Amino acid sequence: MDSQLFLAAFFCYFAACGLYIAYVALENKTLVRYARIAVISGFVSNTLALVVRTGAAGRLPFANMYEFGMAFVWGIILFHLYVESRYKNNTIGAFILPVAFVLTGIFALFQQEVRPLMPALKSNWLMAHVATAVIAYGALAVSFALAVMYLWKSKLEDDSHANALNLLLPSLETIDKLVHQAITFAVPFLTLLIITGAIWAEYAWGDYWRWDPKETWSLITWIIYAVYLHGRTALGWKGKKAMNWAVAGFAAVLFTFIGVNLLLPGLHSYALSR
Amino acid sequence: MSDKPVIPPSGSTSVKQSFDVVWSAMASMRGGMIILGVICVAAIVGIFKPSIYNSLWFQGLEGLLCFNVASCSMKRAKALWQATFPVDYSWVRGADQQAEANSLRLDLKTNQAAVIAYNCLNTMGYKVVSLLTDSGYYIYGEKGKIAPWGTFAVHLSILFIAAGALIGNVFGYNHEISLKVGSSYTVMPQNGQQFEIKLNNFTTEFYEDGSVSDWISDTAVIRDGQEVVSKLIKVNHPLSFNDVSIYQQSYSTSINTEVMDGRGRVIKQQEVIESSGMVISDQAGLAVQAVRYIPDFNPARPMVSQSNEARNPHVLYIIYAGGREIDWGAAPIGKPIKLSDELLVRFTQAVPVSGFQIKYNPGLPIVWLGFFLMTVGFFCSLYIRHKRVWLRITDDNNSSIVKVMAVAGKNQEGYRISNELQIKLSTCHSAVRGG
Ligand code: HEM
Repeated sequence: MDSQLFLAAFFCYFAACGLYIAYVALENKTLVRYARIAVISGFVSNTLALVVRTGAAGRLPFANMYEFGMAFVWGIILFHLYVESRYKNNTIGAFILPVAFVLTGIFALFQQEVRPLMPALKSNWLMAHVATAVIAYGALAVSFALAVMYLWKSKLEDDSHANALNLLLPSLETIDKLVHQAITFAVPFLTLLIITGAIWAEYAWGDYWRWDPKETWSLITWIIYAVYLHGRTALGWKGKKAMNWAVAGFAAVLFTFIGVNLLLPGLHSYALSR
Repeated sequence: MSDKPVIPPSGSTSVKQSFDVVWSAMASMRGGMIILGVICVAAIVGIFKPSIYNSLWFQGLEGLLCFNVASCSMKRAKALWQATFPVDYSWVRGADQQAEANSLRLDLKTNQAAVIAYNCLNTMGYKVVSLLTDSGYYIYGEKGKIAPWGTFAVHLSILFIAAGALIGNVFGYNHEISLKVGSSYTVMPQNGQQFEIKLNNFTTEFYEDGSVSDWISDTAVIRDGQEVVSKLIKVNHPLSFNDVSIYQQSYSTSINTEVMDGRGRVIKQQEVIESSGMVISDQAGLAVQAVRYIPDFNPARPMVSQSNEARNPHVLYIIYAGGREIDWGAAPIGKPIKLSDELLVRFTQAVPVSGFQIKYNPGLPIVWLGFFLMTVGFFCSLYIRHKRVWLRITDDNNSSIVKVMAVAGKNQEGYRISNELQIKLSTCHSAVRGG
């Protein structure tokens, strides 16, 4: 049941993605209404999918890539809805929704039945760990989409196409500020994400840090954002340079979360050795 | 001391100079960013070559980072302290040093304007200090003073975490033991009385679908022959006693294996851990391996146990002779099987074994403190804005000129705040006039 709902969310996000892009391409304001209907329907089925999954599992759906993926995408859309209504600019959907819809598709591929938690996962620290991940990664996905928007818009301006499309998008200054706000909002939670993971590991495995690939990549992600913050606040980085760091940071997030699981498997050992 | 003049060898000044350059680079924020970058690269390489993480030069990098953070923090600490706990009111006049200024004229006496400005800043959440001088009023407002302390705490926390890790590495210990049900192990803490842990029972609990829900070691701590603590150790639920933590780590089965001669006399006996083996004769290359313990054996599906109760306990075994596998099968507990022409082997008992990690880490509280500082520091640093505003109120033909100057952290936010203040001031002003 949750998988059908998540699939429905996938199609809604796909439609919303197309509609937002069409809005930006055709500059047709009526499309925004349909795009918003699609996003909200997707968000509702995404929410229901999480609720159903929680009911079926008898716990929060935080135990595997599929379950976390549902929550992650949900977080992205929540931030999207907030930013869109707060800044009254609908073009951001054309950048955030592609990210959300591609991720939804990827996570849907990892669909699996509800299974009871293995011993190592039975911990409140895990719950805190995943909840902070939803917040941090959700906001960082938004920062990434907006950074791409910035880079795209500055390319438009370089090509001196100061056309209507260019005017439709928020000013570079606004985007730059939004990216920074999203990252400063996320970084404390990213920190808490690593810390709760470390505390959990201390109780589950007897060691708060073991340099396994997942831990290592989460540290790398964190360092990228630390460098960004220093460059931004102390060295006055702005514009493209700052945006490139925002893009690199989210690439590291995705690699930590998806790449490590697929390419470096078997090393994040949940089970006891026999 | 010789009376020869000391002439530095040529080149030494440039060595000293380059040393100074390297030193100050290593102590600067840019240097810190570069070190962080190098650590990132080394960490990635380490994924494929984990020995890097314990190598001296990687630890050197971590040390360099700590040096860097410490020196950056020290440089900032004094200014931070002085800004937070000023000794006099001279900074209130800081208005004169602020470049960005907006000014507005109010049809009020300066003292009235000062009261309004003071109250406005107050209602905006600023802590306000005012100063009357010959040339008019200085009003200073500040909020979010904690933010730069948050930044300081984040940097300090890195040092705490590193110190905790170092202390743990140097003074801590960590080893693994296996305990058979019924047996015990003596822990000898470096600081304190030794004690014994005894494994009373080990069980595996399952969910309805057959997957493992918990490995449970029923354990007691015994000191001076008296049981002082008893605890079910599970994954995520270690036992802590006198700074020593004991973690559930692995499990196995110990199989008591006996070798008998033709007349049934036991000539060799050994506890064999499941999946390992027992060598009977080196020369003949004769050995028996207890591959797996099957508590509820079913000949139709010999590799899997039908249940977890010992209803029909068997041991899957392999026999080697001349170093080669010569026979294999499933032996019921207690029943002898043929090993060679003269020898028999039997598995008499299977007892669960629990694997524990025993750990003493005196650095842990410092690491936890570092984590706490870092979390609180980050929220203070990034969620709270440090804002400072200066107002300068002077008289101009019985009306007041209010100059607004603001600095917010390092951001170019001055104009925004001064605009906000202007709006506030003019609304206050019109309220006064209206009233
Ligand atoms: C290892 C990870 C590090 C983290 C997570 C970190 C974190 C931070 C944060 C959150 C800020 C505040 C940014 C803001 O105002 O928005 C900051 C500022 C700063 N950091 Fe770091 N830092 C780290 C390492 C370093 C290192 C190695 C140095 C080297 C000296 C350094 C020097 C500074 C300086 C000078 C500032 C500016 C402070 C200010 O303007 O108030 N940091 N850092």
